[in-house]
Amino acid sequence: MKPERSRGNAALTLTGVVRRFGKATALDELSFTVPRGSVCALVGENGAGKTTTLSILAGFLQPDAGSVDVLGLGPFHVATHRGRVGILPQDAELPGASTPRELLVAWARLQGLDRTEARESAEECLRTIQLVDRANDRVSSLSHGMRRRLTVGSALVGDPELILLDEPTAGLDPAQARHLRQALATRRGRATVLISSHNLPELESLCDHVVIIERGRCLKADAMDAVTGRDREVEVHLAAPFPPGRGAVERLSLQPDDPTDLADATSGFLRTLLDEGARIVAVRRGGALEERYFGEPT
Amino acid sequence: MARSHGFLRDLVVVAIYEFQQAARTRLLQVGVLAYAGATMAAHAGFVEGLQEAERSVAIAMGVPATEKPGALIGAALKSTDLRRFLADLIGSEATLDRLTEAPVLALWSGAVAMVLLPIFVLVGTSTSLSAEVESRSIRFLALRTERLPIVLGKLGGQLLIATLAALSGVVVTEFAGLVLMVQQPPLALAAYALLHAGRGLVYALPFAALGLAVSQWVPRANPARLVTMLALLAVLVGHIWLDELTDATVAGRVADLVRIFLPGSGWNDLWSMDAGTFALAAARNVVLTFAWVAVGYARFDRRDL
Repeated sequence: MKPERSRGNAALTLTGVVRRFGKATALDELSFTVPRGSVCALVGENGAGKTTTLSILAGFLQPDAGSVDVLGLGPFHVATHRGRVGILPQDAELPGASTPRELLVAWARLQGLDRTEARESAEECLRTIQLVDRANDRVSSLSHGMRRRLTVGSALVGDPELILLDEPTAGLDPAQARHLRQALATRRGRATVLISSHNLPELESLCDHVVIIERGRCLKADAMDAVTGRDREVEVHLAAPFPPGRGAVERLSLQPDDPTDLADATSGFLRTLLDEGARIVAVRRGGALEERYFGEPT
Repeated sequence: MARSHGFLRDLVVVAIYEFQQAARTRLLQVGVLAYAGATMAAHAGFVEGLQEAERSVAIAMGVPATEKPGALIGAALKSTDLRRFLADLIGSEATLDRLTEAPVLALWSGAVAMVLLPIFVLVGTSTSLSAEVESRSIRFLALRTERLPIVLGKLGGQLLIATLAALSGVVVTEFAGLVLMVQQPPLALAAYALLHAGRGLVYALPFAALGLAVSQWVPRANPARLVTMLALLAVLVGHIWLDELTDATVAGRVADLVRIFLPGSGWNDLWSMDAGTFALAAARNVVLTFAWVAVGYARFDRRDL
């Protein structure tokens, strides 16, 4: 029997989660929520606690304190969450002697699918990760990028409700990375995807929600539009400093008092600039996530 | 998609996967060949001993000795040295008398299995989990099934491999009986070799569980191998030491109690041709196997992966 869909508006809720490794505190009362059906970025420096967070969410690590709720069913437990959660672990080695097809079928079988369904799911997954032509080769004979795609496949097989990805495009060439982003984007709405990555432009284009953590604490957790200002701010880039003379600028930012009026305000603002002789080369909603994360360039 | 979650089903999937992995990495083939080679070497030595015993008998009887042993086995088995050696091997002269109604090489093959199989399964189980925890590939399984079917599936896979090794021992025994000896009835030899290989497997069960317990406690493969070898040494020394204490004193009774928990007990009972005695010894080994698995699982169930 297919398990009933999990409940609640939040796919993930962490409250005051603490995790220590010896004297080092990896997570320091970490709290955030990820909305159900969103594609969410998990951003932070090396050692900020991203991988530890994903490991706790998947039940590989236990928190020392705090509470975790995964898909509204409590902390991860195989009996409850099996088949509902897929994860791309950052540094787990694949069994080199097996083939991609065998591994995907075995994983799908362990997720509770019968033999036929497991095979179908594995084939769909092989197409998604573009490994159909190498499906019967040993994992040890695959390139680093291919193995990476296979581990991504391990997170997607069986169509889980929650997909946790730790650096999914690391080691992939641009074409493969693009294909993977497209594949993940198709999951929006029917699955919740949490992606940990250092590739901020990629996250900005793919995700609709973002969680920023630093030293094990949550700095910000909000919609991507709110964090980048895409919902309330327009940036205009000019071909030459304007107005000529002192005080001229090459970049202007428009932030209307009423964000719902952004379209009209932008149109009026651009009209005024053009009327005054400014030459516009680009108009962009909000700022880049990279700028918001590291601060505006000086 | 329909999903069915069954403990036994997961256990079987993990066991088959473990077996396939061993076959693909050639560890299965190498292990079975090594086992068969060791069995052949042991058989060659035993046959040479038989040849010596038959030569002595032939001289005493004033008849010519055959080129290969087997023709004078009945008489040779009455010689004190060979008889004492075999009785010591299986623990009782009465059992020996019943067992030697079958080809003597089959009996020897059982003893070889009971020595080799514990080492064989210990080598396999000691790293079956620790290596996966070290490489973190265990995470691919732990996300999908509970930890107990993983542990028992690994045990099942290793026992499948050990069964294949034991069967290779039966083939080698048949070969040795036909090539190195004379007058060995092939069917009886194969049947008894198979029966005694079964004894060897039952005897090896707690050793497999001991290795698996270490594998659950030690999260790295090489240290797990080392700890397993130390544990095997401790078991051997423990048996020798406890045997010294077997008397009516309190120490003797404590020794008897401690021995219950050590793999390797019940050797004599497992040789018994009495079904009740054998069944009791086998049941005890099965219980001990689960006890050692539980000792490891107490740690594995709670460990970070």
